[in-house]
This record gives sequence, C-alpha cells and structure tokens, in this order.
Amino acid sequence: MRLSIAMILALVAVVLGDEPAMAQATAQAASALPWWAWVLLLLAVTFVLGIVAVIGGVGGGVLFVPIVSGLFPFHLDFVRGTGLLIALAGALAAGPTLLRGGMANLQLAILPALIASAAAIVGANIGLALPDNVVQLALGSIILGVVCLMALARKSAYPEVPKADALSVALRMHGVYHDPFSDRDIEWKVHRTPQGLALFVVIGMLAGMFGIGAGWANVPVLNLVMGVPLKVSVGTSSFILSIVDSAAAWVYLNHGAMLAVIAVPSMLGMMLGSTIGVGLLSRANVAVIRKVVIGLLLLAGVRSLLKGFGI
Amino acid sequence: MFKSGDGLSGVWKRLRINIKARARLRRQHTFKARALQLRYVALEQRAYADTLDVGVTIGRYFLAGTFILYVFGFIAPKIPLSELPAYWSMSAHQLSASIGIGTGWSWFSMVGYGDYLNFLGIAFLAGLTIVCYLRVLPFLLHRKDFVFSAILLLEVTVLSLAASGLLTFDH
Repeated sequence: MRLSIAMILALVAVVLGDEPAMAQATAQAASALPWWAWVLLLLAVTFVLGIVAVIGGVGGGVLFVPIVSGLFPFHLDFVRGTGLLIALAGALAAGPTLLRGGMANLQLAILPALIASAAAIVGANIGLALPDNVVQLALGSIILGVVCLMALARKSAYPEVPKADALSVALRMHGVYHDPFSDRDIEWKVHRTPQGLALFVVIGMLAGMFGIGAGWANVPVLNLVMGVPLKVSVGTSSFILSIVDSAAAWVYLNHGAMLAVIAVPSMLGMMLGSTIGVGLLSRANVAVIRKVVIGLLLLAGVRSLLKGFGI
Repeated sequence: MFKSGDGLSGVWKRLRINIKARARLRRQHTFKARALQLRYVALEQRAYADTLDVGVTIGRYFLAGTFILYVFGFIAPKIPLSELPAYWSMSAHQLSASIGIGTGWSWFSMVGYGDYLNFLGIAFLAGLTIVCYLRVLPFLLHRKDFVFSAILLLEVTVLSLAASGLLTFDH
C-alpha cells in the first residue's frame, strides 16, 4: 500500500513538472534512451496504472492516454490507439464472467452499443483528422470533465424506478439478477430510455475521438439516468465498452495508428497491474486512492490543456 | 476436532478431513450461487459468453506469441527496432507515408514483417464481437425475436463496415 502511494506520488511529481522543461527533457531522453528502455518504462508505468485503475475504480484508458501522452515521446495517434486497445482488452477479458453472472445484460446493452459504436467510428475519424493542439485542448477539457464527474457524481446501488417507459418495455430492457453478496434476487427496470440513448451518442463520439474508453460515462448514464442497479450498470458498461471500442479500434488500425511495440507491452502491463490491484482492493483505502486518482487526472488534464495552448 | 489420547497421525487425519469438508462446502456454495445466477441468464447470453471466452484465450496467446517473435527478432520487422524512436513521434499519417503503406487493409500485405504480424492478433480481438453476435443470432431467430435480430444485424453491419476500412477516411 505504501509502495503504491509512493509510485503514484512519483507520477504526480513528474506530471506536475515544468512543461517546457519537461518537453525538452522528454526530447533529450527520447534521443538518449534505446527503444527497449522506453518499452520497459511503459511496462512499468502501465503496471502501476493498472493497480491504480482497479483500486480507484476508473478505466485504464482514461488514465493511460493523458498520462502516457505527457510522459512518453509517442505521438498522440499511437497513444489513443493503444488506449482503446487497453480498454477493449480489459472489457473482453471481463465479458464472459459478467455475462454468465447476470451483471451484464445483453438486451440492455444491444441498442446503446449500436448507437455508441456508430458514433465512435465518426469520433475516431474526426479525432484522427484534427490537429494535435486541438486534440490536446479537447482531451484536457474532457479529462477535467471526468474529474468533476468522479468527484461530484453520486451512485445509487438500487435506483428507484417508479415505472418503466414505453421504449424500454418494447425493447425488454428489464431483468432479474441474483446478488451473491446479499443472497437475494434483484428485479430491475429502466426509465428515461430516449435520454439515455441520446447520451450514448456523445459517449461514443468521445470514446472514438480520444481513445479513453467510455466506462466513466456509461456507468452514470445507466445508473443515474436510466435507473439500472449499480452492479448491472458496471457490468453492462464493461460489455458495451467491448463493442464500442471494437468499432473505434478498427478505425485506428486501418489508419495505421497502432504500433505493436507500444500496444502489446501496455496491454500486458495493464493486465498484470489490474490482477495485483484486484488483490490489493480489499486491503487498500479505496477513498484515498480515489482522491489520488482524481488529483492525477486533474494534473494530466491541466497538462493537456497547457500543451494545447502551446505553453 | 482434537481428542485426548490422539497421536500426531490422528490429529493430522482429523485436520485433513476438516479441510476437505470445508473445501466441499465452499464448492457447494459456489455451485449454488452460480446456479442461482445462471437461472436468470438467457441462453443467448451464455452462448455469447462461451464464444467470447474461447476467443479471448486464443487472441491473448496469439498476441503474446507474435510479440515474442517480433521483439526478439525471430521475424524481421518492417521498421528496425533500433530505428523506432525516430518513427513513434510521427503522426500515424506521416509514419504510413514514410514506409509506403496506405490506409485500410494495406497493413495485411505486410504481415510477413514482425511488427505487422502483431496486427493479426489485434484484428482478431477487435473482430471477436462480430463472431459473438453471429453466434447469438440463431437463438433470436428461433424465438422469432425479429426486433433484436434486426438490431443485432445492424450492429454486425456497422462493425463489419468499420473493419472493412470503408469508413476510414484518408486525412
């Protein structure tokens, strides 16, 4: 626990560093370090991010893109492509367990996933066409928005849904799942479906444009807007992510915005870190780690904004 | 569990019985919880999960294998590893132009090179959703659930178009 806090503080110190000096240092380091040193550093950083992401309750992509784009000499195109892959790999790996356990619901996910995946394709194309400084500005703004959402948004374990709306009834967006912790069957239904589906258009666009996955937005929309119980929201969000990020990943792949030497070690580091993070979850002070994650994202968001302004 | 007059072997025997009984109870509890969970999980959802499980396992090992072949030089890369730092700070468009590769599936012609061989594993993982959806379709058609079948087919179409490169616009 102390070690992970120390690693996080080290990352904070680097992110907090003077921007022009950091840029110059990165450029000098880029020419001095061999390729394998950067790959090993990437493995180490994504390992730490994997631990922090699990304990802090955030997706890998939302931490990976702003932090790695600030610390490493990789172009933002490759960082975003890798961010999508990391989110996709995590969601695919978790999918079978969530689906079998009833925590992810296919009927609930199928229409939001269609809408968000189509929007993600558009977002990915727009994101790859925009100039770098515009992407940095937009990325910084989105990250600061995520920080606000994490700091302020409530979560509701079992939202009160007085009546299912007509669209959710027609699409059979309802279900029952067995909660092993409380050992009871939970029935759920959904409301405000049109509003929720409209938000999934925005979520898909952002996911494709910045490669940051969409879990940070899916869960509040499903839980707070549509009234899905929290566990089903989290499980279904992960499942929707696997579909949305598949769509966007194809755009990045076909654009050549992926490098194996960046993507594969990142996926490996994140997977290993997540495994450790799950083991530490019961012993870590989740509230403290969550505050550290929010702080880290705040700094990364400000850094992206500064980069966008050319400062 | 411990009785007076028991030797060490008696204690050990009782300990083993106790451990096995606890393990059996844990297994029974897990199976019961799984059965209760699966009771509410539709057949098509289970089919999706099973297909995804197999696909992720294959994709994971394939990607690890191709990366080892690439990074240890068993298959020569298009961009030599030592020259990578000069390329990875370029934009995707600049890098593709400098090595003479276009958009879409042009990368497929380069799979003989170690770096682009990894794209096969990435493409496999990205395409897994299409396979899983097609696995689920017969369940929906059998139930005459045409609304969901239509949505599912639309999703397969969207993902296939994304995969085809037709929705990738050259910048």
